[in-house]
Amino acid sequence: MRRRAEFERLILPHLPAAYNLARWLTGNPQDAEDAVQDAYLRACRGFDGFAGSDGARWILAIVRNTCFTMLRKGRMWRNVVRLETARGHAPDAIEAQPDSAPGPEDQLHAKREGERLHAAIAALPDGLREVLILREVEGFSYAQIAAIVDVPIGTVMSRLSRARKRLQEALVQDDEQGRRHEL
Amino acid sequence: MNCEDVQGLLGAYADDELSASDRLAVRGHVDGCETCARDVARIRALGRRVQALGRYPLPEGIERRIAALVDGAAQQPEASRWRSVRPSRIPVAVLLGSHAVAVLIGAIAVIAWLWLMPGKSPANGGREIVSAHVRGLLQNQFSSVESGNPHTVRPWFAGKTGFAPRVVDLAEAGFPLQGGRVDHVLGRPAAALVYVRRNHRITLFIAPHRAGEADPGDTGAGGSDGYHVVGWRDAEFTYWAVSDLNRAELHAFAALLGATVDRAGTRPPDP
Repeated sequence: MRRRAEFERLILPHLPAAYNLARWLTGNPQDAEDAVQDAYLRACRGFDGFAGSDGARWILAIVRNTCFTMLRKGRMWRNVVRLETARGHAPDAIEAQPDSAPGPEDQLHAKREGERLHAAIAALPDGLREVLILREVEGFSYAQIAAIVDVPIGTVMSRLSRARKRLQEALVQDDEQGRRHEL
Repeated sequence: MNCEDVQGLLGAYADDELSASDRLAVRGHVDGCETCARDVARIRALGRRVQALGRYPLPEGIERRIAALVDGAAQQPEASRWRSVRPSRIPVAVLLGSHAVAVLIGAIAVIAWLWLMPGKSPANGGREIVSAHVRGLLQNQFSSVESGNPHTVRPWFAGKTGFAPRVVDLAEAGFPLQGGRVDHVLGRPAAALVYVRRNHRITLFIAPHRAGEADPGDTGAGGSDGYHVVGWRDAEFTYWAVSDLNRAELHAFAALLGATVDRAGTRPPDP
């Protein structure tokens, strides 16, 4: 590849975002890394065709397409372990949160909150989950998300609002259940 | 604008994604409507909570693996590099232990047989696949990269072969991955992955398609000398699984890989 240096400058730095998206879409670390490796391989093969400057947009589009191809062509057999994630038990994101040294009770509360939110996001349909992550975690504009997901901006807008609505409903339900438990 | 008018726009308003005129119109309503103002605040609060979750941390060493993959894809393999990768001497260690001796004797017999019957090799290259498998067994190490971690093995291949097949560990299904090496089969470089089933080694050769090449299918090769070869292909690669394992289990192995490696819909043939 002649443009190796450019690839390193424009594409490689987006690895954390790429992995995060793949991790949310595939639901487990093995498939996520598989997808990311696949995507980077495709990206460097097709890099000569990349003329733009928005490397993040470009690599993330490849990553999400790779993930969806993986999901569509049948989940891998080892995905039986996905159940865990489906139940909202996905500790690797939560536990990596830096502690700002609050008291143990606050910590516990924050952790429980985080886990509930995490589970609610994991339970979203793939198409809603990806726009939510791209918007709230990665901070992309609607136009960028539209380019990554390859849909019109209006679709991004409506998916995002559906995602938020579902999330809010799920969290409210959780709150009510939590209160009943405490009684 | 009333509540109904702005309802669909509140998200974009909270995200500051509206055109200037729409933004003004929505603000005009939101500023005077407690319900809609609360909705906007809720959307923003939710956004902050999701953002606070942060990204999933990167797995240990992934940067290195990706860099290796990119390096590998960047360089084209040269035919001369292939041969140097393969160790050529038969080490003493292999001669120790009755199992190894048995393997060796069997291997020599197969090689001798293959040597004597060159004219009969089938078009799909089953014989050559078997002899490449046996060659692997004769080597000091069965693999040049010894790792059961697919994410390590794959970039290693990218560096050696210029292509990087998907590597899956099938340990949970009873076929742990032992490692890999590069080989040369049917006139082209191939990735060779070594799996184990009980005492049987399975070599999975993976090479990019060649134009006009037929689907290898079950060659049934070496039925008499105890080796089986099962071949299949997907959109990018041709695969051959070869072992002295019984045919049913080799097919099961191929089916597992067909389900994981093969994303193009072609399945390995049924026994």
